[in-house]
Amino acid sequence: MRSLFIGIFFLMISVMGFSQTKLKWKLRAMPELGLQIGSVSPSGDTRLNLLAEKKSWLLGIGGGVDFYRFQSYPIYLNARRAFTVGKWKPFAYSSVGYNIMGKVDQFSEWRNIWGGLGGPTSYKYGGGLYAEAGAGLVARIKKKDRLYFSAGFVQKTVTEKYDSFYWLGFGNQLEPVKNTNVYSMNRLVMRVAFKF
Amino acid sequence: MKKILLFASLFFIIGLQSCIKDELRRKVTIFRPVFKTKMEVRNSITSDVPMDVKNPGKLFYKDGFVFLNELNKGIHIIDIKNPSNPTSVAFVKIPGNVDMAVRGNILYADLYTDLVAIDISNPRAVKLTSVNEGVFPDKLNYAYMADSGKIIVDWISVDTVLREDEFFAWGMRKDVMMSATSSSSPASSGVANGTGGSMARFALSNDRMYTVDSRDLKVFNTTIPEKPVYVKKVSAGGWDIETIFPFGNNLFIGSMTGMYIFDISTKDNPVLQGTFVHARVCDPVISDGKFAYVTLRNGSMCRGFENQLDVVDIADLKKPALVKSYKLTNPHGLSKDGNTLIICDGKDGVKFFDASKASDVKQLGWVKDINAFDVIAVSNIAIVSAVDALYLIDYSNPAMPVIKGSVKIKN
Repeated sequence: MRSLFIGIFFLMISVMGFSQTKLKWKLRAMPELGLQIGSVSPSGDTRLNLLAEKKSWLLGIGGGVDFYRFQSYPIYLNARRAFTVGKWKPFAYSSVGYNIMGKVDQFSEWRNIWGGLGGPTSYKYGGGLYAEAGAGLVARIKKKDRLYFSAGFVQKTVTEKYDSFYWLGFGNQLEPVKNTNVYSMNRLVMRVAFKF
Repeated sequence: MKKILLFASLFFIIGLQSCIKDELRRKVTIFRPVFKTKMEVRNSITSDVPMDVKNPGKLFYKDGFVFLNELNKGIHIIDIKNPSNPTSVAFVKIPGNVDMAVRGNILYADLYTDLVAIDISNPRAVKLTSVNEGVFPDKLNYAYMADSGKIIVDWISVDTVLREDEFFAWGMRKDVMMSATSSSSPASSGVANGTGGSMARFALSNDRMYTVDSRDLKVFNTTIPEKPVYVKKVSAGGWDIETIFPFGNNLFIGSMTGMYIFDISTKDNPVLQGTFVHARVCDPVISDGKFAYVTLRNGSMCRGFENQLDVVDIADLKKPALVKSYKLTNPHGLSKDGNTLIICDGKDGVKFFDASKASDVKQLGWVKDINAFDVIAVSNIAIVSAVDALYLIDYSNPAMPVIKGSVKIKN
């Protein structure tokens, strides 16, 4: 997964660098609101992207707050490209980055809801992959301002590490073991974004 | 174009429906049993080369040697005649072993559901003398039923990834299982019994051995030490029995909810005399004949909220009465030598008390910085099992105990 991040990062940098030799990039801001539909009741997120725009490309970075199951803070690289199909202006986008864990007590509560894993001792939490891809339509508001309507697939991941014992069949036959739980939350997301 | 976009959107949403399920992947270690035949296991009960202590359990002392259980693997034999330089002399492979006791030159140990008797007159060349099959049915491994002629001798760890619902975490805290040692008592017939601690489930009194599981008290006739004979079982008084300690004609049985006192004047017929009830906690118990000393501690398995020493007057065995409680940090095993009471207080180390007055037990000395679980006091040397080592502590002056030597545990 790390190599995927690095690959995407260098791909974007090289695309931007190549393009800058010919045309000028313009900075844009793009706040977004998202409605997420997953295994549990619908939830939301909000993101803010800082993008460089040239022709049909928008490349940049972003961060946000994701409320699905528990609060977390994704940071990511963002790329999107618009096309022209007749009078329509469809676009495709993707975000790849890191999901930063929210407060642990929130997570514990969520974890109990998930599986009711009682028992073991102390847990250590870490972030994980954050990735999103989707497509939609662009609507023109003013000369440079645009509204983006999209639907996509978003995944956020957290890791949970703890020590426990493996029971070998009876009584106190226990072997100490280290465990890692990787929780992946996979959701559909519908977004509306405003570029200015 | 509208139709194309509409169909594309529908395809997109329907296609992703199957992908929106949240997932849990567990990266875990599982264990697979390694089997041997009963004959192979019994033939391998010999003095093997010493091995590192990795996961120590209960311990027993006899004639300058400490017998230290390696949980479910066997027993280390450690020469402590020179406390400054304890030396491992052998390791006896006994699969499924947790408890032990020593009478004369015979070591009694559980081998899963069996009781084995081993001649240890030469610790460097022990040999199996007899087997009582199936006397500890509670130790049958229900999770891994194999051919009845085979025994699990080892486990191989395998790292794997499991999806949600395929695995159940049997989480338990380490401090629950790290307790150690057993108990002992007077000898008879010229055969000396060894000395154990306060957390044992095997206890020797005269020419009988008494064992407890979670519910039952069992009697073994050890008149012929090398051939113990199962006699009978009686109810141990509760269903959460933890330890047994013999003194005189009595057995003191510790459970999570109280202490049960049995009269064993009639050796083969233990009779419940009295009960001392306390809150639900873990409670090793010892006695000096006049008083019983009960350490109560909390913990994930023990639950409860108490960490204290209870001194109980047992002048009237039918009505044991609390004399006084003393606050401690997380007390585990304990031992008493004359007026010196020694308590393993978990992460708070080993504490030495003057217990000449039951109503006024005073701390004299303290060995800090070790996480201690159980102790045997022998001739001014406290044999202490701890998380990181087996310690030998000289308490000739209980106010200034000194660590003389140790055998390190290699986790």
